[in-house]
Amino acid sequence: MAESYGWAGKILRVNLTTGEITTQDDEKYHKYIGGMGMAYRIMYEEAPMELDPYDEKALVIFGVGPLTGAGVPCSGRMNVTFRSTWSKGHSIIDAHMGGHIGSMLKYAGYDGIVVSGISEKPVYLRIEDGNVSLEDASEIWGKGTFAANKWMVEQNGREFETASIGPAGENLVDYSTLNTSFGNSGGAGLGAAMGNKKLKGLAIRGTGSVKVADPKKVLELSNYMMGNLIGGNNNHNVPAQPQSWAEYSATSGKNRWSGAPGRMWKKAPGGPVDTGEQPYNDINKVALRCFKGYFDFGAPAAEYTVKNGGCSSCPIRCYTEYDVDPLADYDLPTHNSNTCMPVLYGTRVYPDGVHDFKYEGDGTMVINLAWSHAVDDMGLWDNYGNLNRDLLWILRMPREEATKYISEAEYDSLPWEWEKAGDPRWEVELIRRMAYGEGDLSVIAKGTLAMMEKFGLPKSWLDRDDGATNSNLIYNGFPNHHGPAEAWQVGMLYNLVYNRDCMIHEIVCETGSGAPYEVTKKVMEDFFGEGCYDKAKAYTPINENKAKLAAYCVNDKNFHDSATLCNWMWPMTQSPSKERDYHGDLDLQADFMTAVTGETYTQAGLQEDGARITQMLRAMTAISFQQNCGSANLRQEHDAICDWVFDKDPDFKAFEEGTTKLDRADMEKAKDLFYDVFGWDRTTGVPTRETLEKYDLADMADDLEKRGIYAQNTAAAE
Amino acid sequence: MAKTDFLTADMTRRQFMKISGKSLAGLTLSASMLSLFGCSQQQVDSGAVATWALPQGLLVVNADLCTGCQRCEINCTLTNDGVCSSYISRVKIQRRLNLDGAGNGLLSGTDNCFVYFPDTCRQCEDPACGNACPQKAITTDDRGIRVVDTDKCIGCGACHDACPWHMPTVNPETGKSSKCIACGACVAGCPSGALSIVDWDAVTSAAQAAYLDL
Amino acid sequence: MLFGRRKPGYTTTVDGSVDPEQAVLELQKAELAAKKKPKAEVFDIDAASETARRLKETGSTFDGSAAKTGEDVIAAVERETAELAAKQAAEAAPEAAEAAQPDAAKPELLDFLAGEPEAENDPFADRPTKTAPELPELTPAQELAGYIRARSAAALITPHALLLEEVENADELLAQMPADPQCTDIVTRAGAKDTYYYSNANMSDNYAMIAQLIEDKDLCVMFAEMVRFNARIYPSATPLKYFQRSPYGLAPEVIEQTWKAMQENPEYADIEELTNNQNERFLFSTKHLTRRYAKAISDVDDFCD
Repeated sequence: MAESYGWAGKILRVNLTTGEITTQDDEKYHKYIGGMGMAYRIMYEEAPMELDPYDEKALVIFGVGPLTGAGVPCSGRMNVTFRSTWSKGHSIIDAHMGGHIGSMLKYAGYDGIVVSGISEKPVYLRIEDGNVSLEDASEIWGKGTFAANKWMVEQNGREFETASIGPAGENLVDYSTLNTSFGNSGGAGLGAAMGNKKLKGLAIRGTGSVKVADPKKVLELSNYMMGNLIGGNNNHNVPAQPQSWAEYSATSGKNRWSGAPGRMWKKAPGGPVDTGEQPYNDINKVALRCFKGYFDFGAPAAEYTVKNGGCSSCPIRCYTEYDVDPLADYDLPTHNSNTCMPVLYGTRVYPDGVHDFKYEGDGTMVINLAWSHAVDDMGLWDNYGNLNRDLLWILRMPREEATKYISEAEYDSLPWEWEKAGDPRWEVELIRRMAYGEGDLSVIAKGTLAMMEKFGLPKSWLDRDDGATNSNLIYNGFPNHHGPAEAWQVGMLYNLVYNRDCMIHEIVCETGSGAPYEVTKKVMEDFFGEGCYDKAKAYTPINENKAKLAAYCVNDKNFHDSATLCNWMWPMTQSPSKERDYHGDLDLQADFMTAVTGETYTQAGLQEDGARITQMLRAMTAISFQQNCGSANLRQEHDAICDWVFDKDPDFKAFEEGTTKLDRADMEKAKDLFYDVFGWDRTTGVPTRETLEKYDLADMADDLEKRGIYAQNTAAAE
Repeated sequence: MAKTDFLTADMTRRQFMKISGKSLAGLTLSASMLSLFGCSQQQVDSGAVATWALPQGLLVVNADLCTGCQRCEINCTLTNDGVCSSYISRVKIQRRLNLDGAGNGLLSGTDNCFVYFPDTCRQCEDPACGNACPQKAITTDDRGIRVVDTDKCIGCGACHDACPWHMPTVNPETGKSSKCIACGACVAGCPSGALSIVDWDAVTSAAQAAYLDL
Repeated sequence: MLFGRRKPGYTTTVDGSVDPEQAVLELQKAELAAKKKPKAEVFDIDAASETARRLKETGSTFDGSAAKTGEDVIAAVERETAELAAKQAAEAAPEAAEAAQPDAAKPELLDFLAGEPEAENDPFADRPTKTAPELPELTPAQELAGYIRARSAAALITPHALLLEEVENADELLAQMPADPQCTDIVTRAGAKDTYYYSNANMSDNYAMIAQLIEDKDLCVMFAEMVRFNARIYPSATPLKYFQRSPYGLAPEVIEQTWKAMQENPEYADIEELTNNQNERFLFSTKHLTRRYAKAISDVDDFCD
């Protein structure tokens, strides 16, 4: 194996059927960067889309990249590629997780783990540098993720980082996750993909290192980033409240630079810690900037916060670590840590509302933290809130209506008195039923599309204008993720590309910041061209720069999940620095790639690398759709947009000041421009042969040809 | 106490040398000293605060501020080893996140526990690591710091075993032991201020001020 | 030295083409020369922003009297900060304050240290303990600039009247500042009742505007100015709760009274109220926003992360 910087240089291959464990030199995958890109190539070559996602030959590919564990700020991510069982087309899909396990995999000496086969009995994968083994997991099969992770650490030693699936994954519940006990999780059905293989979890210890071509440069760039470029979480570049060094703040008082004078971690063991002011150029206060709990819940969060937490290498601590003591009254665990969806949507399953527990206004928070602990323990995913929205849809119905979908016996078996009382045990019981697949209701955790099929709901159910129970932008079974409401046509376009919610934050990082529009517009237009950046709820028709920006977002995100970098923080588009006129540095990620790997990278080159991954995704999606939906016309089958996107806000016309609704004809034009940028056929949205060859993917073009997908393009055009 | 005990930076440092590496629990701090250390008396009482007397200043570790990001380990190894690693870092946080061996760490109880903080070499007066080294490879350098002479080190691990906190670590890739050389890289890059170094002039001034108040 | 600690008040950014190590050293040298932050050592505690935070929270009573007696103003601010922090801690957590009281059973740190035997084998015995470099003598104008700067770092602007109280020949010294290259960061802002001084190296101009409006103590004017500013600059409507937060810290009743008074004054006819879809109340200026758009951008859409 050649000595290489950044990359560990090899991947692990684990066959659960035979128990065979081997390593492979991975240099041939370096042009796909790592993580997602590497996994897509491996999946294409070795596990064709014809395979059933639960086939013995189906792969689960854990991937990290050259920047993971290399000291680059916000690089503690791991990508996991497998096959969707629940979204339309059952195509290629990723889970993305943070924490400390990705960098540990690198320190153990691996850029990835390709898992194939199905074990006879439950096992977990134990990696200690070069010693890799499958260990009996029968002790923890059936256990929640917290108990399983604790057991694996106790068995193997405190220096092991672990992650485990829960009962949801073991029971092949489509909405399932892999979890660490700090609350880091990879969703998208990863739990079931592993559960099908009888793979309970991972335990990894690495005593090695990531070799870095220019360590001094990595330190310099890190300090440059932390002293000049980085903001709060989502790289928000102004604080949520006025701070004496800052010209601007979020007028709403709400953004993710939410640490501020008087906002405290009140449950710190040694008494309240005030997050105070955090001048943008003070490296030693960066970790106090994000107070995610305060952003999510306001003042009650402070009452229950122990400290901030987050992932390896990241100075922005977007997890809040809580001790929610009122939960003890319900015999529920009180210490939990999370960020994002698990702590945001629990109250959705209480149609009658929630009440305060200990402090004014703390009801939402206490209920959501109980939800978070329960879903993490069960290893249950929420599909970016669709689980909660779909549950609300039925739970808020009168009994006679709800029992059209679930049996009367099941309806009456639900502990409704807990729902009425706002008791956290209500949600815990719902989550248990979902995770064990109990009753008709649990079809909701098999996916929105599975639920619609079982309940006999027409496709138009997804066209309803009801944000509380419908956030699906397209008809493929997953919801809006920072789409048109935050990023106009650009947000709609990048929501079209994946086989799950898009997980793209390139635009919401700007629009959610709270900096003055003109300030951010200048930054965005200087980087991405005139007319690319619309004002909040005052949209303009599509133009070429917007289409280019949408494509940039997709490619950039793909690079992040390959390198790996956190897409909530990267790229460094904005800066809190007045002296920089609030401009970040888009080249920084390429500079880090160069410093870490010793090979020369440019931002333009990384866009090409990201685009190569986009093309692989699109080609494999076309193949899946041909297999499973009978047509590879992605424009029709994959990229069709739900009616509510165009019909909401009936008092407003599209492009009028005050609405985020889009226009149908404009959006079709937007797709044309977007497909043009990517080199996709305008009629079918499939990458042309010329395009695939340009990205050195001629074998995929040959494949599409052989499968008749190009012939289908021609037919569709006629 | 007498004002003369803290008259110069050098004298102050020698005073703090007496408790280097130990928690301040059980002691009362003046308001100015608390302000200087960026901590509260309650944090001191709870055992969250420990100090190390280094030549360039007083290293203060505040456990309540540690958010477990591992940037101390990253900065340590990039600076001293030219690679990025956790295991060989001279400041230790990863191995203390899950279980720290002293009843803390995420998995230490039946429910999650969010008490975790970094630990590092105490630069002992009577160093167990150095005494145990069969090669006498751990010596005091011209900066006054105990360092590993990599020419002499045979990577036997005696230093790691002898240290009560197992701070020296044999690098499996080089076969040489690594231990803290008080370079300050971990502190300078700590994004939460859980690690800080207070310069001796400031500690001396605060001590003088405290004297005036008495 | 790779770990240049950046302080509030640095106005230079690191140019990618310059060696960052060198750049940080340059910054530190420049800082020392300007005496903006005398303790520019790389491992200093960032006293300035701690000071800022604590003074701002507690509504400092710092009167700068130390400056008259020639005490280092930074040291004075730090001392005041420590006192305020202790006072604040006592108010916030009575049990902690109790613990902070000298306790016969619990020795004071310095007493304890003095009573302990000398450490044997001090590993650093031969090495001189690091101390800060000597700073150049300052002119009286530079001393006064330092006082203004320290207050700015503590998030306080300095009324002209206060300077006159502190220093007899304040006007003479202030007049010298524009010509002194070490004092170019000292700028003024005209308020309703006085002129205010601040260091734009340590405080942003917009924050100075807020601080001036707070110092002027005319709440109606402050509300109108900030509501108009927010509507014009961001643009956004201003939640009534905005004035509850730092640095305004007004009680809800005071906010209600102020808004009621404004509604009766034709000078504020452009300020109107709206309620968003979450039942939160906002003010906006019709000079800069239509009601329809102000309402739309104040409504909170279904929140996702």
